Amino acid sequence: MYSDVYELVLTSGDRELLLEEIDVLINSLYKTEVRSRVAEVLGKYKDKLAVVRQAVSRMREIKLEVARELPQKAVEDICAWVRKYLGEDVVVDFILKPELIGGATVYWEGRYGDYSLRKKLDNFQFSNTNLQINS
Amino acid sequence: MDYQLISLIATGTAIVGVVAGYLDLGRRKSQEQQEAEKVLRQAQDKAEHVLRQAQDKALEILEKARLDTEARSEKLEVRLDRAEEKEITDFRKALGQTTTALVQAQIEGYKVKKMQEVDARAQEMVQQVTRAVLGKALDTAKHIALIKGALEEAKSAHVL
Repeated sequence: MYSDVYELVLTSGDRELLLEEIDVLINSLYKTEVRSRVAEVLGKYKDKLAVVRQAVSRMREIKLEVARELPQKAVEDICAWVRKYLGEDVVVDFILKPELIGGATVYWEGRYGDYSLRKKLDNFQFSNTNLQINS
Repeated sequence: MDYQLISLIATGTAIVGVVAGYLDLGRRKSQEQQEAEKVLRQAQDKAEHVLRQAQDKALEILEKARLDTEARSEKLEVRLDRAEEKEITDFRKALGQTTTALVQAQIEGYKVKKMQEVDARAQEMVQQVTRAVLGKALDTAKHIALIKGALEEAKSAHVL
C-alpha cells in the first residue's frame, strides 16, 4: 500500500518536503509549487491526502552516518538496498560525519553498529599496540 | 688509870686503824678507779681502733666499688661505641643500596613513561596521516561500496 508514495521518499529530507507538499495540496494553496511527479502520484489519493500524510509521517527511519555527501544515484542505490531488506516504508536519514573517513555507522530500531573506517583503523592500531605490549 | 690509858690507847689505835683503813680504802678506791679508767680508756682506744679499721675497710670497699664501676662503665662505653659504629656502618650500607635501587627504579619508570609517550605520539601521527591519506584516496564509488559493505556488516551482526 502506498508503494508509489513511498517511492517518492528516500531520505528524511525527501519526507519533509513531501509532507510540506501534501500540506499544500490539502490546503489547496500554491499548487504550482508541488513537483510534477509528486502531483501525479498524489493525484490518485486526492480524497485521502490526510491518510497518506499520516502514512508518510509514520515511515520507519534508519539513520546512517557517512563520511561524505553522496550523489543522488548513490542515495538511490543505498535506499534500494535498505528497502530490499527492511521494507518499503523505511526512510534513510543520512548524517554527514567526515571524521568517519569511510563506511558508515548504523542506527536502527534502538540498535547501533559502527562500521566506519575510523573504527577499523582504531581497532587495527589497538591490536598492534597490544601486540607490541605483549611482545 | 691503866684501864683508861688502855682504853684510850685502844680507842686511839682503833681510830688510827679506822683512819688507816679509811685511807687505805680511799687509796684502793682510787687505784680501782684508775684501773677502771685505764681499762675504759683501753676499751675506748680499742673501740676507736676497730671503728677506724671498719671505716677504712668501708672506704676501701667503696673505692674499689667505684673503681670497678668506672672500669665497667668504660668497658660498656667502648662496647657501645663499637656497636654504634657497626650500626651506623650497616645503616649507611643499607641506605646506599636502597637509594641506588630507588634511583634506578625511578630512571626505569621515567624511561618507560617516555617510551610510552613517544609510542602514543607516533601512533597518533600515523593515525592522522592514515586518515588524511585514506580520506583523500577514497573516491565516491569506493565510499558507496564501503557504505554498502557497512550495511552488509550490520545485517550480519543483526543490527539490521
